[in-house]
Order: sequence, then C-alpha cells, then structure tokens
Amino acid sequence: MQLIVGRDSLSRGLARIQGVLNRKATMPVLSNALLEARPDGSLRVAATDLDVTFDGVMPARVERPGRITVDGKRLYEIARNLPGEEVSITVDEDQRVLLRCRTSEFVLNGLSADGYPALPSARGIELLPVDGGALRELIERTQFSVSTEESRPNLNGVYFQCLGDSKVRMVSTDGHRLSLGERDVSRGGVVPERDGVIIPRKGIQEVRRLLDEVGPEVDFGFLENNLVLRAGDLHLFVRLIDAAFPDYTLVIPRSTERKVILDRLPFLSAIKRISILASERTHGMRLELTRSKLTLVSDNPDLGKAKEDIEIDGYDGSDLTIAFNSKYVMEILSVLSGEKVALLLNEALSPGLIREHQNEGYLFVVMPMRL
Amino acid sequence: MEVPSPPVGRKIVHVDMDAFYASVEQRDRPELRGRPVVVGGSPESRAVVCSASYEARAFGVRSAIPCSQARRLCPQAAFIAPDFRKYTEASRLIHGVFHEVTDLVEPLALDEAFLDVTQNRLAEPLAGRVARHLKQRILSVTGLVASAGVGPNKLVAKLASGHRKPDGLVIVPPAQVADFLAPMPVDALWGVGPATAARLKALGLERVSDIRATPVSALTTALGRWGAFLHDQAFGRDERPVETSREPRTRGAETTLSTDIRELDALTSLLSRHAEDVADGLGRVARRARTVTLKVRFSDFATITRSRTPDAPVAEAAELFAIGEGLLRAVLADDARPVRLLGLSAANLEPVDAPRQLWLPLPGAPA
Repeated sequence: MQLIVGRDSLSRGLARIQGVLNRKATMPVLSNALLEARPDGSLRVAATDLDVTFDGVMPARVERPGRITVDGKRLYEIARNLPGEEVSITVDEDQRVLLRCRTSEFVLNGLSADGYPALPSARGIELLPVDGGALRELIERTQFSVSTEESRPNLNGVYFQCLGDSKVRMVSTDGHRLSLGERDVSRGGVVPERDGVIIPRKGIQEVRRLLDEVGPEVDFGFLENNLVLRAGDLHLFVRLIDAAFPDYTLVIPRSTERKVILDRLPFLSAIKRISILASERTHGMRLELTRSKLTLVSDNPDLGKAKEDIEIDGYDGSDLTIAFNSKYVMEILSVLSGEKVALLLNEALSPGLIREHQNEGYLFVVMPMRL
Repeated sequence: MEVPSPPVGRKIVHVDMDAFYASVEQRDRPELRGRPVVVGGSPESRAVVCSASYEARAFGVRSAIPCSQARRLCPQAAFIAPDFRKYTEASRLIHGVFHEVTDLVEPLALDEAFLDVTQNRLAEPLAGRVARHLKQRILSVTGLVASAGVGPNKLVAKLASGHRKPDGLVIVPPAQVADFLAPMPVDALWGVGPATAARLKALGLERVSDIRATPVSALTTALGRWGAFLHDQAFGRDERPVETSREPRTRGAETTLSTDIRELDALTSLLSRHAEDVADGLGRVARRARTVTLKVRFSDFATITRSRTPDAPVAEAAELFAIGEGLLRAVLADDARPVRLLGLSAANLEPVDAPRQLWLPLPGAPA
C-alpha cells in the first residue's frame, strides 16, 4: 500500500475518530484506525468501538492500493504535528507503516486489516436530508439529563422519535428529571413517522461532535439496529440501545396551579450564587414563592445560609415552598436561549415544569427534593 | 504566627472487661467457675469463639478461632451459646458506672470504653485512683472484673489496660510513656495490622523502639502520610480526642456457613436474612445507607468485598437484598470456589430525614 495525502485532511479524518478508539479493549485492534488506499484515488479512514463507527473518505494520490490498521491515537498525534503539507504513507509486507513528510520520518507497527471487525455499510440505504443545526439543538437541550446508572439501560440514552411531518422529538431522563424537545428538522423532503429508538449516551456525544464539525447539511437514516448519519463522504453509525423507553408521558404534569415568568439569565445567576452554600452532595435549594417575590434559600448547617429575592410580576397564585437540586435547574436554564422562562408548579412534592416562555418546543420536568 | 499547642495534661482511662461473655456466664452459673468456658457456637459447627475464660486461654483457646479447633485444644471446656441479652444488660450497668465519673465516655464495644477523666465528678486529680474506683464499682455493681489502663492519651491507655490482664491496673505517667512503649511489637500501635506489620518487618522494624529510631521521612516513603502518624505513636503522641457521640458508621451481618456451598439458592436465602438484620439495624439508628457491601470468604479463606452505591440511599430489607444479590451473582459468575462466609453491610449512613431527591413517577422507579 502506498499513497500521498494532504496532511490537514488526514489530520481531520483522524481527529474525529479519537472518541471511539478504545485502548483498554480486549481486542487490541480496537485501538487502531483502519486505513484503506483505494484504486479510485481515495483514502478511507475508519474506526469502531463496536457501538459507534466512523467511516470517512478523503482524496489521495494512491500509488498502490491496500489496507492496514495502525495505532489511531499515535497516528493522529504524528499527522497533526508533521511539518509539511503532504504526507506519504507506505506499508511494507511486514505491516510496518512508514510516514514521510518533508524531513520527518516515522515507522509505526501496524496490524493486518483482516483482523478488523466488519464495519456496517450504508451502501444502498435511503438517507433523508435533515437540518443538522436543529438536530444539534435538540441534542444539546436533552443530552444532559441522560442517566448514567448502568442498572437502567433503557435510560442510558436519548429517546429519538420521528413524529411525521419532519418533526423529531428527543427525550431523556435519569429518573429525577426529564428533558423533552420537539422540532421540525426538514431540509427539503419530509422525514416520515417512525417508532422511537434509544441512542446511547456515547453515540449521541459523537453525533453532536460530528454536527459541530460538519455544519447543518447532513442526511440521516436507519440501518438495522443503527442510526446512520452522513455528511459528505463521512458516515457515522451508532448502534441503538435494545430496550424500551419508559412511558415518559406519565410524568409530565398536565396542568399546573402556579405559573411564574422569570428572566432566564438573572434567575440563573441567582441560583449560581445561592448554590455556593448548598450541600455539596445534594445541591438542595429552597424556593419560597409568594405574590410579590420568589426567594431562593440555601441553608446548610455545616456552612451557613444564603438568600436572594427575585421580584416577580403578575403572579396571583397561592404561596408555596418547594426544594430543588440547584444543579438540575441550572443545567436547564443554561441550555435554553430565550430571554424568559416559565416556572410551573403544583405542590411541594409534585414534579415542577420549566419551559421557554412562548416556545412550546421544549419542556423540562424536575422532581423536587424533600428537605 | 502562634502555633496552637496540643492539649497538655489529658488523663485518659481505658477500661476493658476481662473475658467478658465467659465471665458473665461464670458469674451466673457457679458450676462453671474455675473451669475452662468457651462462649460461641457448637464445636460441631464451624462457628468461631466469641469469648474464652482465662482457664480456657491457658490451653491456647482464643477469640475468633473456630470452635472445633477450641475443642481440640481444650476438650474439657464447657461450650456455651452466647446470650447477648445478658451481656447487653451487664454492659448497660458498666456504662452507667462510667457516667458516674464523667460524661466524656467513648464506647468502643459492649465491654470496652475510653474515659477522659482530666476533669471528673469524683474531683479526683489522680487518674490512677479514678481507675481503681471504676474497677471496684464495676465489680460491686456487676460482679465482673475489669482491667484498666491509665495514660496521657488513648493509645497509651489502651496498651496499658491490655498490659497486665486479667484484673490489671497499669498507670503510665507521661514521663514513662517512652520506656513503656519501646519494647512493644509494632502491631501494638494503632492501625498496624498483619499486612503493615509485615511491611515494617521487611524494613527491619519489629519493635516500637525501631520505629522511633527511623526518620519520619523513611516511614512516609514506605507508608504514605500515615507513616507520620505511626512515628508520632512510637513516641507516645496521640491527640485523638475521646469522642462521646459516635455517629453510627456501618451496620452489617455475616455468617460462617456450616459447610462450604456454592448453590445460589442457599446463599441468596442467607443473604435475605442478612438483609433483614441490616435493615433492622439501620432502623434502630434511624439511618439509611448510601453504600451496600457484600463480603464473601471462599473455602480457601480468600476474602473479597464488592460494593455498590445505588442512585438513592437504601434502608429497606428488599432494597438491600436486591443490591446484595446483584453483587453476589456477579461474584459467583467470576469465581468457582465454594463460599465459606457471606456478609452484607451498609455504610455511608445518613439520617433518614436527610434531604432527599425524589423520583419521577416513571414505571419501575424506586418508591
């Protein structure tokens, strides 16, 4: 195998696979990247951790086609630090990978590509154009409440459902709070209705990273038990969680007795201040709601006490004291972008609801704390 | 800047009952007096000795050895099943005596406590006399014999009480602390178990005097930060206060099986009894546990522990059992050895009324 490839495109192609290289895997080949010089004048760079797979192609001057796998992290470190613009890669019959770039020369020990796991292929499947920016926003606003508790695998990912009419809904919950977002993701063409699937935490991270890199023009679809995303010559496959997402609609309050409209950023800053004195373990804070103001309190016998009043207008409900994990509320306020948010409450031990004011697309349910 | 000086002139008494359970039995059953008595399980079982009278100790019987071994060592001993109600009652009387003297009492066990008698209700400046008073009062109130040690701190007091058992009273004034400690083996010091003792021995350190002659830097290199505390102890320095209200730290239950087994059913049914005991113990101190630990000792005595910290603290038997069972299944899946001992414990306790994050009412959510 022998080829010449641009240093920058090689480096970019290797950068995006870093998240799936698994150096602790029982199969040593999983810490390697798969390189394939193709007769059509391209270099394929791929990697998989068996759950998430990147498969990309870049132009190259191929002198001798062939395949090899080589330590993906080291190759990336080398590629991005090379001095010149073009890199020559040659593999000898002993699977040694020789890289040359101007005056630098590296030899890496490779492993035969025959031992690399078979990768999914998107050939022949139908992908639909979607708005990557809309997908990215949905992910950003739901990803943070995915459960990390391994004993509940059906909560270890974001629930993803095509509602028809190009609408996509994403939901995540860790059992204490729930995030739900819904948006039109069309980019020409219509995304049809489809049963919901669960995209695992790791996979959703890689999807988000890819969307950050490639911008809004992406296509998506499903291949067997994988979500497929395509951007140009790059494919990302994410194996879905094989479990049923719980009926989350049960926990969304249908009606609320109390509604307060708050300025998002000042509310967020006040919680940040109050939480300095919250318990490091529970992050609990108290919200005392009256007709004229909302008072935030953290009362920590070990440390001291903090209190802040927020003036409110137009609240005519009854008084309520309720406690929340301050981190949960801050995370919600941080992912939103509107100027105002609505805080909707029932009783002290019933789920609370946060929405963006005049944006029906997102809702966040937070279970209170018993202080 | 002024460096605060350590508290000087503390007077600590350590009281330790002699062969506590066995002595209670001998007190209540005159026919046992003067005879070797072993309190524990049946010698046919694989239970271990809880307490051995001094007559039995003369034959080499010790706490924690298997009862079967005790019988081989001392076939003529009377083997008696423990009656914890009696011991708890005796303990209550003994702790009552402590509180006649001071409220600065740190209970270590049913039969053992530290007392800070620097100030005391007897208005007695000599701690040795306080200790003698305690021994006499315990004997007259309970009919049981205690050993006591007096020193300027907990370390020295505890070593002193164990120095001349039974019926001992050893007083180590500050000026004699160094001589008292010097000849002792290193494992007399607090926190030195068999593993640390072996490491110290490898360094040529067998007696407290050896540690004293070693630069503190060499100890911290070998043992980490703890090496400095060890060095302090070798000089008789120990500033740990007598802690009166000890927060309950763990609750646990364990059983040595009568035969080594591997059957999951038998082990889980034992585990479920342990879960009930632990839940009961947690209920008594009004705590719930953030961490649950399973302990398994295999037939070859290799012992492992596996812990899990669930999403939410647990206190109910069913929750403790579910976690313990999950850990047990994982252990047995990895290991083919038969099990000799099974234990379950709850740690990282918090009050049941501690702030708690509630669960969304999703299907399958914790209550």
